[in-house]
Amino acid sequence: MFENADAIGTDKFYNSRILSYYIKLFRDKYPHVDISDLLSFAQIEQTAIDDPFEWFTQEQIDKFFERLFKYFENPYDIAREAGRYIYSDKGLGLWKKFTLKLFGVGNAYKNIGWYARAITRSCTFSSRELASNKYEVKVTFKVKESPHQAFTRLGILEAAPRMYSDKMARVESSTQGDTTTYIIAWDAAKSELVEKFMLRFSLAAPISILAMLLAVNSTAAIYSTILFVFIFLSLMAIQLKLRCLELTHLYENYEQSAETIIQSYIEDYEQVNILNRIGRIVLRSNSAESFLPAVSDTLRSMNYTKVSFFVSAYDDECIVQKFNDGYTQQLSGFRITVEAVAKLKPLLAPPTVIADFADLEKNLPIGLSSGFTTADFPLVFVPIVSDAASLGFFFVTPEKSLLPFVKKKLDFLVGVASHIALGLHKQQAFHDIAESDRVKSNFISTASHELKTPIQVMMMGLSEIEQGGDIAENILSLKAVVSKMKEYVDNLLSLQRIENKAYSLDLHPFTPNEVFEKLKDEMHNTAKAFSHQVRFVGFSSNRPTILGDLTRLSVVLMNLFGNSCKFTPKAGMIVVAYDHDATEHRITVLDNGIGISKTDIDKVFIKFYQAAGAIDGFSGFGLGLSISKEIVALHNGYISVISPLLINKHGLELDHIRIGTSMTVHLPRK
Amino acid sequence: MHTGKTILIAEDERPIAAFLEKALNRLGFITIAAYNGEEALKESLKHKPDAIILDILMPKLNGIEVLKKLREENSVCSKTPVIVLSALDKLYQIREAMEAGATKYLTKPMFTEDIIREVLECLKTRTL
Repeated sequence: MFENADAIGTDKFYNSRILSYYIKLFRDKYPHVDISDLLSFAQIEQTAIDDPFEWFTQEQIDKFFERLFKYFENPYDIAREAGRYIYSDKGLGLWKKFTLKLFGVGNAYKNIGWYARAITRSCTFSSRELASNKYEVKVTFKVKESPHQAFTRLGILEAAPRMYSDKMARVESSTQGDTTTYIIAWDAAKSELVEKFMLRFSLAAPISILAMLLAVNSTAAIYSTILFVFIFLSLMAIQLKLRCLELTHLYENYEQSAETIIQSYIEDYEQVNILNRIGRIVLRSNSAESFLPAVSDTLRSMNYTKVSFFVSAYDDECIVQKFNDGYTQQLSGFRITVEAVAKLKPLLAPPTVIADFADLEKNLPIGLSSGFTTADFPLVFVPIVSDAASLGFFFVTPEKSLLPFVKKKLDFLVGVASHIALGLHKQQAFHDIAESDRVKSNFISTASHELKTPIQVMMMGLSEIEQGGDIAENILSLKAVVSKMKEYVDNLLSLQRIENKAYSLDLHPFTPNEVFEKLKDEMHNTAKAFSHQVRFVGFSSNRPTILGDLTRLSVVLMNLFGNSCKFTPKAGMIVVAYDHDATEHRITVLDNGIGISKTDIDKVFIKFYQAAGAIDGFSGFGLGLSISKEIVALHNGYISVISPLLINKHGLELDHIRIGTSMTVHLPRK
Repeated sequence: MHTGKTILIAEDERPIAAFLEKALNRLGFITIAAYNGEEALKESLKHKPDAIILDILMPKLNGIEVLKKLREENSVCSKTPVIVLSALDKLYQIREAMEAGATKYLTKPMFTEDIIREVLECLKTRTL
């Protein structure tokens, strides 16, 4: 495709003038460029630059360009600027400017091939007039050039109209094979036509005056001279006036666009400032109750008239309205459940502008419409999202001055939402830390108390033996205390293993009958201490097998059974029952004891919680049910609780036995 | 030697109460055991014991509440020595009990003989 250097007769394709424009540009505008460093890197003599008969190789100009990366962030912009510089006043020089102006911008493109020959041998130019201010320029390459050269050429091609006006040409290019076609169009300035005519006239006038002097007489020549001078001065005045108008117009344009730019910068700055302020507000506070009103005030200072937040409450699985600025009372205390939120896609989407009630119903079908009045629209709905999960949302009503609500403003509200999300996370973290601190200190004091009591008994037992008490009797009670202590320590360790996920199940199939066989003696013995009766129901041998950890599940059932014993007045009745359906096995422990109150029902599965009302002397550690819950959960099951106290204070009766508490272990059938 | 003197033991842990009773009976004291706060208050007011050994964490009524009730102005036990015997050992817990009117505060666990010595001490101070 390309001829090789030998075919052209030389490997020096580029005239020194190309680089001299770069050098002039640097001296003029970029004094930080060390020109001698640049030239020595490209292995070009300083003097060669000023010699119009010097030509350079591709390698030299590539090296020259490569070095520009040391001085500029984007040297390709500089290549283009150097191209444009050719048509600047300093680049052209007075004489060249005069001749080029004489023939006009069109001529510059028309004769571009002729000019190009003086500076490059790597390609040829041909041009064609498409209209008075539109040219087609075709460049055919003989050798492959580097990308920076295309930028320089683009600069040259777009800058020609700069001789007359401050506007550049529009250049479109397309490449096919070794030819690139440029379509160049520019807006002709009116002053250009007058200036071109004036320049031509100033050349033609002396010739016609001379002709008149020779052919007619001196009087005619003098009159025509006066006339020509008058015409010339008039043209000059017109040209200057036009130029002046053009410049004024240009200036006004610049001023206007500068104002627009400044205005938009001010807006951006204000938004950033406000975002910073909101960030600081959130940073300083640890609860939504304290930062949301401040955020709301800040937004209102920015001409958002109504601001209303709905954020997730850490203590409840729901979204609650936190602040209710100007809305009707019905909306206060408004709650949306987390499930409802999960179903709503818009809660994870970018903010949306909601035009009216119909739009609100369409986009947010959660029955919010009652809270708004017609005056609140258009309102902006902004989801508060974190890690692809919804933490809530807020509404703002922008004042008319903020409309139309463009993307930048929506982005700003996204920023506000992010700060709120961070604040909510921080609040949650503080809450979690406080909670875990509370649990931990609660644990330490409970554990130490629970361990001190058996130690107290042991110490007293020893004192008693020392004082001559009955050894066998005392050792028996010491053993009981040590067993209780061991049970407590075991429970603590199990709980810790479950919490550290180091608790694994030993799964085997077993029948409900095996459960009965394993537990009946232990249960009867435990019940005997309280004089309770025990009844087993449904543990016959033809029941489906259960897959689970029999040892661990026995611990669970003994815990439930032990609780029933402790919370049932003496000589009570405890029923242990098995049944199943297609999906699960159920083992229920039911008693006719004191039941579980409404206040206790939510807490009995919490670590160290001890319900009041245990039979004197049989209070536990508050660990049994939390361990049981975890063990059943490891089996993918759950424990359900029925206590008639939840229904009425008199309880329920079943087969003439009043039911106290019924706890059921549900295990899935696989 | 202490014959006839009555000591009330308010303690929900039955073995602890039993050991204390044994040791005190051996010294000639008459003992009354109460296994929760309510019972402790009722029995104290009824029997007007010469001293009370009081646990704090008890069902139904907590020891501090019992103590406050005992120390009420027209109570028959407003001057009775009360020895608090509890596993609670934080300074504020001890202060709370002393402010409620405890004569002495003992923290569990302790050997029986040490507890008895403290009780005797209290009784001696009172008779002086």
